[in-house]
Amino acid sequence: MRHIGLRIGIVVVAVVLGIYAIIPTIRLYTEENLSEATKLTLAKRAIHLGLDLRGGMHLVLEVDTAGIQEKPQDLRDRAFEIIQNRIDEFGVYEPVIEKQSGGRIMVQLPGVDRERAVELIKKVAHLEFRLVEDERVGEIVEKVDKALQGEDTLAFEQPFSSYIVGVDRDPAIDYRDEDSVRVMLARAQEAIPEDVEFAFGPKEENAGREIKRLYLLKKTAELTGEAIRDARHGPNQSGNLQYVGTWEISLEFKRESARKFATITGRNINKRLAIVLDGVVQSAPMITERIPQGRASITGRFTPEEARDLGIILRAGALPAPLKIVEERTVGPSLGRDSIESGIRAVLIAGIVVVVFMLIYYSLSGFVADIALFLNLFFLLAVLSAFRGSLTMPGIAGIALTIGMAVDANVLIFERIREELKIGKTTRTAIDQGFARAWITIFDSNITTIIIGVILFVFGTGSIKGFALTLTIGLLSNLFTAVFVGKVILNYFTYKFEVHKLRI
Amino acid sequence: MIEIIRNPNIDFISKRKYGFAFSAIVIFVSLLLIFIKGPNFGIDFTGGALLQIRFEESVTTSTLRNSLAKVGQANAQIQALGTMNKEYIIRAAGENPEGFAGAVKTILAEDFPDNAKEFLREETVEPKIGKELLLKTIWAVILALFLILIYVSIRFDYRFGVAAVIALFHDAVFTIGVLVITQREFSIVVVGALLTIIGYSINDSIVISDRIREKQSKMRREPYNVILNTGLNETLSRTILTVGTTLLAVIALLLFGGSVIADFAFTLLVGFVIGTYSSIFILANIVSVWEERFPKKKK
Repeated sequence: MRHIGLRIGIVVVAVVLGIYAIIPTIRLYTEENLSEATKLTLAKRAIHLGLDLRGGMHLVLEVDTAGIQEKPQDLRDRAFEIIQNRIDEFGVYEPVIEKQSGGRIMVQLPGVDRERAVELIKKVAHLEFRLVEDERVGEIVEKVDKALQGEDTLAFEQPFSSYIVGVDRDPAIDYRDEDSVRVMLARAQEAIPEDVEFAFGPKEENAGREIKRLYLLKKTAELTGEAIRDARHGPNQSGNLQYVGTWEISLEFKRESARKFATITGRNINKRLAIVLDGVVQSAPMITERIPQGRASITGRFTPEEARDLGIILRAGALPAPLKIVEERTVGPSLGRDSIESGIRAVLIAGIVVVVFMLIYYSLSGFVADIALFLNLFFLLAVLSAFRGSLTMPGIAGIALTIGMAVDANVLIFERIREELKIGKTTRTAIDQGFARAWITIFDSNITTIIIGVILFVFGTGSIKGFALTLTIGLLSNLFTAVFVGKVILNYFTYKFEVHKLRI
Repeated sequence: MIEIIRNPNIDFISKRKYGFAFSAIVIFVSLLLIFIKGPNFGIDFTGGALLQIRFEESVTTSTLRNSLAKVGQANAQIQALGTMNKEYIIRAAGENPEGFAGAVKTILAEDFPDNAKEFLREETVEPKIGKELLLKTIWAVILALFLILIYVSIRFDYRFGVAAVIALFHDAVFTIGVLVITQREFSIVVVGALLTIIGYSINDSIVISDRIREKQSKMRREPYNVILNTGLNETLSRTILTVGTTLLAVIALLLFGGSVIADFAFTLLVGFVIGTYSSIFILANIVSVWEERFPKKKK
């Protein structure tokens, strides 16, 4: 009976926190007409659906190392960089790309066209060095503007040039305008000279905005990735004060390409040479001098990570290692919808049956167990939301199972209380003793199942992890709801209504 | 007040030979089945491909099989879902799963040109991955049993720990035996279910062991078997109740959870029943035999 106020307070605070955590999930899946921006913000704080429920593909890729002398992990890192690059281009919502042990890469793409995605991922990397025609940008942008003005069928509200913003010294566009800009460029094809084309950089954040840099590139490549022997990153060695503390990438060309590189650099001093991977400009360093020996370095204000990534990209081009799909699991959207429907139905039915059963068997005390059960599910979903957990079909099964198992704690407690009452204890003592005695058993039995949950989470593959997650969270919150909350409720009612005879 | 059994007083220990005999036979048969016939391993473990297809118009299994035979896949498993003959799962084990999926899609497009098809699910697994997964699974099960052995030994007594793990092993083998007989697909999800059964069955064992330990300190003068019996009887209604509610939830999953989760729910249903049986008839009985053969020194 002690501290009843404090204990009620704790329950109330937990419920309020739970409501706060769960709101984004509820809004995301029930409200209609949400704007894209709101959806994104909500999704960051909501439960997300696993691929088996929303539809999509899960791939495990392996770099084909046959006949290649290098360390598999190194090859894997390069392949990873390439895939990430392509998937960014593909524009998938919430992709997951993960390095796995054994030199593998796991890719999860929600709701995509299977054939297209497979083709995109299995393509061999294509790295090129192409000259940037900075001095011609102004002239060509003007031409594009003019060409589009002539197109009266097109209702672009603004001229092409107005989409371009300056970032550092590069022209760039707002990421959200990318589609319009691409359409405009396609329409104004005629206005752009034959020998050049526009290309984009990767999506980046600049001064709080998401942008893509825009480059005017020569159409023909000066060199391809095969020219590179090696690329390493390291701290800047030039002694130039401007670059102290920054990182650089040192490049080594193969012997036959070194001569070609010398000619190119000699002819194009003060021009920029773009490093283009699969059509995306990764970097465009300035050529400052003729480089005769086939050893070049790219300096800039690179952080160690940026230098490392660029090094990986350059080496990736040096070695086009084919990727093999060793595991694929694709679920069509309609099967996902069916699963959600049947999953929810099963959980509801399980819930109703158990709730009714507890009411019949334990009468009013059963009602307390039902409240505890309801809170258990509520906290389970709240914790999932708070940690952005993903819900899979086995995960839903885990919820149904939690319903069945959670009442175990109540049963243990009530059976104890009944025993205490039988030997003539008063209601209050029986409640206190019942909870105290049952607690250690409940703890022991939940812990062993939680051990299993953790093993499943560590060893399990995708959808099984979802099961481990809901089951483990469910059992943890069960310790709180059945024991702590259950006791608060029983204490409160027996105190408030001065219950002398407990119906249990 | 409703009670399932009012003050039960069943002498489980004296009837232990029946339990042991039953379990021994079942385990023997299960092991025979597992090693001779073998579980119906899914592509998760064997490698291979799986296609789940929904046709617009109904198609018979035999016409499907004819089509598959044309691309050299006469041995592929065909499983009809539902009763409408519209939805099928086609499964083939072995090398080159990507080739299988491609070939099946092509021949279906040729043979059923006017029947709209929707590919609900497509899975391909390289045999290499399957083997790795099998190894990983075995490790996971061993680790699970080991951790439980440690935990129960620390919390109770190593005798209960060993007895509990034997009971769990019994549950797993028995359940797999049932899966072999019913030829349910043995997939990674089913392994997840097996581990869950282990985790759940140990709950009963713990509750019972806990009560026996409590009785041990209260009934010092009684013979050990009487203490064991009292523990079992006092926890009996709780055991039946909790298993009951859990089974209600699992049956709901099995009946209403849809095709994806059916094997999982089925395995849980079988395993939970077996797990409860072993907690009551195996665990305490092993401890009782142990005590009779090698009595603990009284302090």
